[in-house]
Amino acid sequence: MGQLKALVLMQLKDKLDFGFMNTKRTLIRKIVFTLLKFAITAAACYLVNLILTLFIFNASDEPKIMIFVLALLLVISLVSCTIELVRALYFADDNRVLITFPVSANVIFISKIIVYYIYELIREYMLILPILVGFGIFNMARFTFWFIPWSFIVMLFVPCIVVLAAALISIPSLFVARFANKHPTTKLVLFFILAGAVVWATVAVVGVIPENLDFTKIVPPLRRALVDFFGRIGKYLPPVAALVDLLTGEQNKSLTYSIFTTRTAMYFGILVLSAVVLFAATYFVSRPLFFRMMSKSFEFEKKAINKAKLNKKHGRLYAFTLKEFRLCILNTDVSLSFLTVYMLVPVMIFILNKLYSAINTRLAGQVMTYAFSLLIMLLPMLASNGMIAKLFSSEGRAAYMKKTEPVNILEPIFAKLSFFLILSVPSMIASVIVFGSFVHESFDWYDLALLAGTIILVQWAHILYSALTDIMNPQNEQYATVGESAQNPNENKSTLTAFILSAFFAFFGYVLFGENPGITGAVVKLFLIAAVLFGVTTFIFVKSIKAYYYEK
Amino acid sequence: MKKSVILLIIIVYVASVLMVGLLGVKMNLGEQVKYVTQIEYLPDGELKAETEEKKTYVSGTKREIVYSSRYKVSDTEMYDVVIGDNIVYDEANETFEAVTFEINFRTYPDDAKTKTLKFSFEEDKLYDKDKNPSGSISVEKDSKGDSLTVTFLKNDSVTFKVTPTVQGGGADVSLYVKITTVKKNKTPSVTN
Repeated sequence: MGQLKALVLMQLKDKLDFGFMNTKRTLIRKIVFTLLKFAITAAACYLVNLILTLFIFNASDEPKIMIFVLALLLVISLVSCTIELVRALYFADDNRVLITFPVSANVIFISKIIVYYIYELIREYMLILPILVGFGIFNMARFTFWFIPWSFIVMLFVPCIVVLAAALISIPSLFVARFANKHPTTKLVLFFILAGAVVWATVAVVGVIPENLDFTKIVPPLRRALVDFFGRIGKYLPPVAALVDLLTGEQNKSLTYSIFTTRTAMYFGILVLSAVVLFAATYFVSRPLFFRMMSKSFEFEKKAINKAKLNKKHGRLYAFTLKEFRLCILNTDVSLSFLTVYMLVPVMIFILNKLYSAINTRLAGQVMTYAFSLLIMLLPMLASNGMIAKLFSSEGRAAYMKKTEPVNILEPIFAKLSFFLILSVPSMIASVIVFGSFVHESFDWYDLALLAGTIILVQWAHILYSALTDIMNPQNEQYATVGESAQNPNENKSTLTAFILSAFFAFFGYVLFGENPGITGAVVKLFLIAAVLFGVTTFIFVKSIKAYYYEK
Repeated sequence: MKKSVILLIIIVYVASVLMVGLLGVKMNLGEQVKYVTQIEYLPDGELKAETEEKKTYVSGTKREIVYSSRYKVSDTEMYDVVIGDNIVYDEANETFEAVTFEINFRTYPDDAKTKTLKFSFEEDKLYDKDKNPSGSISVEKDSKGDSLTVTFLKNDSVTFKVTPTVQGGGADVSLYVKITTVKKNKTPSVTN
């Protein structure tokens, strides 16, 4: 037991950042921010419920909506848990260290499951629970106050079930991941199949859009279709429907719900029993395979090179850039996720503007479509730069070698960012071209060129900012030991800035597009703001890098 | 990208469509006030296809004066007007006075906030006892601002511009009206 506790605490310290407990001030700040985040999510859920019940649903449809929302969130949790558990159980770098400890593989396995359960519990307490609280507050009159504290208790067991189910699914997933790693073309084939599916889905969605989209007229048939869908979903997802029944309790004669019933106690018993059964299944199925599968991941046989390739000499900057391009392309996690975003954004703009062209907008509505198109062009691209905020830290301890290279430090750093700086440009140009095809009567070619320039400069500025946050606040040790950092503050900062920047440009776009002297004046002003932003960011980036790397 | 970030982007995307669909259509920011976009002349409620000739008598002596009066709204269109009875004909100079034209106008759209019209005349044509006693016309607007009475004090033609008192929503709206009193090419006859 002592060994298990020590292992769990050790791995938790690596996975989660407990630095906030060092001082009273940081602890209070952490608690306040956590509560604030919780309250904002709950408030957002309350607002969504209010809008839905005002325009589409009745209050009695609420439990059915909750089934759908919970099902969606739990499926997403299960998929991401499975992917992350495969990495954490079998491919984590700390496995090499853990198996040298004087503990049995069983203890290591259970410690990893416990660590992952705690991590998943925190995640669900920050995402699913505030949604339930918002839902509960909105339906306070019907579900009563006890719904909220009861949700806290039930949600202790739900992540347990998700994690244990993921641990069971991780075994076949591991074989699939191993096969994909050994045959990288598999990932590429899967990527192209996915790309084809996206194109097919786009064509299908666009075909469904009516010529005249009037939301006021579409609401009654939409409402009937949605109520019918949500009514039937409970039959297709009995476990989730049972979970919702457990959370809300039983409806009594006065049409309020009560959790203090025999049925609720029975469902709770089933929930606990399911967790126990899954734990037993995981213990007897996954655990025996764990040691063998885990050790295989870092034992490898070197393939003999039959024909040596001649090493070509290149220029310094080109050599660095070529190396980084090769590393990014070979790391399919990075390249495929970025390429997915870069391909998806023009598709999103296409569907968005197709919907807008079906809506009979007034002048103000037309200006809103320009602003929202700008928002959607920027937001996914900037949000994907969160990966750049851990790019340098993910080098682990090798990152310090940069300080020893006898070159201008800016060269390898810019080379590392070149993949993202260059490959994001065609996607943004494609987005603007797609947008331009819908607004060619209002936007001339030079307006579109300036707009493309604006979003490219904003993207580049954000890439440099994300890279700088990572260099200035390195998380190398986390990546060196665990292989990943769960709560990377740099990633969070980059993502937050992405949302702020996108909202800022969209808002100013809305103000400027609605003014005289018209579109050209507006895009010129936006371009100038983006150029200043890029200039300032580049200046700060260069100065900071030089200060950081060249100690005087 | 994190799950929560993907979820937020999807929410923003859906909100983008909903906001335009609900607010961009219903909300009339900048368009809450509707302005006149078109002015049309209404000759007594409908256009007449042919010229109508009117006969009248002057100063107790029966005189048949045949003349036609037409007014021009554009180079290609001319409309008939109602000719009033208070006509004074100066036989010697072959001029007549006090030919009255009552012209009604209609504005579009019907729910424009300000529908009153402004009439801009050639200043030298307007009769004013002090400023321009030799003016050939006097005008009188009705209180609603959508019709006009033009009285010719001598044989003449006048062009005036009709515009809404409040312009807005785009290009300026105007209508040019030309009224010409023309003595028809016929010798007046006098019957005893």
